[in-house]
Amino acid sequence: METKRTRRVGWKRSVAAAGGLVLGLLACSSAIAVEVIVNSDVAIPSISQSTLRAIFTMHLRQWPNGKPIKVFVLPEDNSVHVSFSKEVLNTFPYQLKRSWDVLVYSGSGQAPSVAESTREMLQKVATTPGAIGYLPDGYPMEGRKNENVRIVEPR
Amino acid sequence: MKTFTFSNLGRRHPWQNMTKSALLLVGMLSVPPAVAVELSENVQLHGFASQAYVSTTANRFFGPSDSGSFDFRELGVNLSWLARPNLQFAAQLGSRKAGGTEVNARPRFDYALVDYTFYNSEDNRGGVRVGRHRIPLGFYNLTRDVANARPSIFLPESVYYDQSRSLLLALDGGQLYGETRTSIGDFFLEVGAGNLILDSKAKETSKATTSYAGRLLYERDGGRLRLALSRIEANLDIYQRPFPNAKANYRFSYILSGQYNAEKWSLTGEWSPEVKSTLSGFIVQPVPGFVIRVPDIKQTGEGYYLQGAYRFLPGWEALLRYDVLYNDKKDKSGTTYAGLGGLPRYNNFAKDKTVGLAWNVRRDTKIRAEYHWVNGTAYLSGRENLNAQNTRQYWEMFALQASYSF
Repeated sequence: METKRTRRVGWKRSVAAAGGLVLGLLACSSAIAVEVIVNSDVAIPSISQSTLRAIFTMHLRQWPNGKPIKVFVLPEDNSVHVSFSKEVLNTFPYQLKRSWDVLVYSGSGQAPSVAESTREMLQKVATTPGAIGYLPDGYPMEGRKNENVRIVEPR
Repeated sequence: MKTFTFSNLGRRHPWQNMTKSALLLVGMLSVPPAVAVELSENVQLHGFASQAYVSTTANRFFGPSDSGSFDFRELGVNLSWLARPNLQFAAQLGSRKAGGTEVNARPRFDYALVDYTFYNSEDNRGGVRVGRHRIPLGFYNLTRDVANARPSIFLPESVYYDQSRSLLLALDGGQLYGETRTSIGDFFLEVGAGNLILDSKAKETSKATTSYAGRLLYERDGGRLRLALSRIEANLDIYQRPFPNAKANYRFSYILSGQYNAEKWSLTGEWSPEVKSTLSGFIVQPVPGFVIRVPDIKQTGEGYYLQGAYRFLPGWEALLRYDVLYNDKKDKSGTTYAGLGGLPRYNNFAKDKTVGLAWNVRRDTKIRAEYHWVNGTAYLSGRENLNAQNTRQYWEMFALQASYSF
C-alpha cells in the first residue's frame, strides 16, 4: 500500500481547534495525516478550513481568479478519505455524501470526481487545470508529475 | 387483532415474488459501482432505483400490503451540465410506483432548471434557479425520492406526509438562493415561487396558482449541528363545475428542524406545528338558479418526529423513530371527526414507532429492513383503503428494500 500510516496528527490547526476530547478520540482510531494538493496552475499560497469545506461540499466552484475548481476525492470508504474528512474538514464522510446527494438529486450542483487510488489522485490533480485533491502526508511525489502539483498550507 | 409473525409473512406471498425481488437485487449488484458517470467534461449522469417489499397485518400501504406487496419502486435518472462555473443546466426524469397512491408510474420531470450563480466569493454566494425546482422543506424533501439518501424506507409521515407528496415536490417558477460562511457557521437561504405540479387526475379538477416555499438552513462545524426553518404556502383553484370559484390552500406555517451529527450517531427531530388546509368558495345548487354557499372548511394539523440513527459498524446503521401525526390538532382523538362524518376516529391520527436496519452492501447499494407499530390510520391513502370502516386502528408493518444510486 502506498499510504504511510502514522499516529502523528499533521494538521496542527485542526488539532488545536478540536480540543482534548477529539484528541482522545483520535488516539483510539488510527488517523492518517493528510495534505491538500492542487494543480500548479492554482496560485493560492494557503487556504482556510471553511473555504476547503465549501470547495469539497461543491458549493464554491471558482478560484479567486474566476477559473473553475475541479474537485477530486477518494472513495467514501478509503481510509485517506475518512481521515481527510475528519481531520482536515472537521466533518464526516457520510456528511459529505449527504451534501453531494442534495446537489445531484435536486439539480443544484455536481458531485466531485472520484479517483480510485492515491496514484490516480496524484495523476488527476497533476493533469487537470484548477484541480484540488489530497494525499497522505509524505506521499512520494518525486519525478515529472510532482512539478505539476503543489501542497497547499492550511490557514 | 391479528399478530404479525414471520411465518405468516412467508405464507402470504407466493415464492415467485421472492424470486422476482432476488433477481432485481442480483441485477442491481451486477452493475459496476459508480459514484458519477462523467459523460464528458462538466456533464454528469446520475440515477437511482429501489424496490421494496411491504407487508402489513391490516390496512394497505403502498400496494396490497395486507397480503404482501412488491408495489413500491422508484426509478430516476438525471443529467447536469456545468456550462460555466456559474451556470448549470440540470434535469431529472423520475418514475414512482407506490401501490394505488400514485395515478400512474409514468415518468415525469422531477426538476428541470437553469442555475445561475450571479455572485460568488470565498465566503458568499448568491444565485437564481429558473424552471422546475425542488421545494426545500425540512431536511429530506429535496431528496425524498432517492432511497439511498433517505434515513429509512419510508420518511416520517408527520412531516413528509405521502398524501401531499406529489404536490410538494417542486414548483414551476423561480427561486433565489444565497449562502454565507461566517465564524459561527454557514447559512443557506432559498426562497421560491411558482405553480405546483399537478398530476393528470388533479388537473381534471384543479388549477395551480402561485405558491411559495422557502427554507433557512444553518450548519455549524460541517453539519455537526443543523437547524432549519421551512415554510410553504401551496395554492390551488378548483374549477370543476359546480364550483366556479372554489379554492384550496395548503400551508405549513413553518417546519422546525434540528439535527445533531456525531461520527457514530445522529439525532434528528422535526416539528410541523401548524399545517393549515382551507377549502373555500364551495357552493351547493339544490335547484338551478338557487345557490347556497358552503362555509369555508378549515383544518389545522400537526406533526412531529424524533429519530435516532446509530452507525454501529462500518456500513451498518440502526434506526429508532417515534412519529406522530394529527390531522386536526383541535381534535387529536378524532372524536368530533367521527361524530361528523361517521368515519372511524382513529382516521384522524397516526402514531408510528419504527425500528430499522440498513446495510451498505456496496458503496452504491443498500438493503434496508424496518418494522412499524402504528396506532391510527391518518396517513393511509383513501385510494387504497376505500372503506375506512374496514381499516384497523392498531396495525403493524414490515418492509424490506434494496436500493441503488450512482
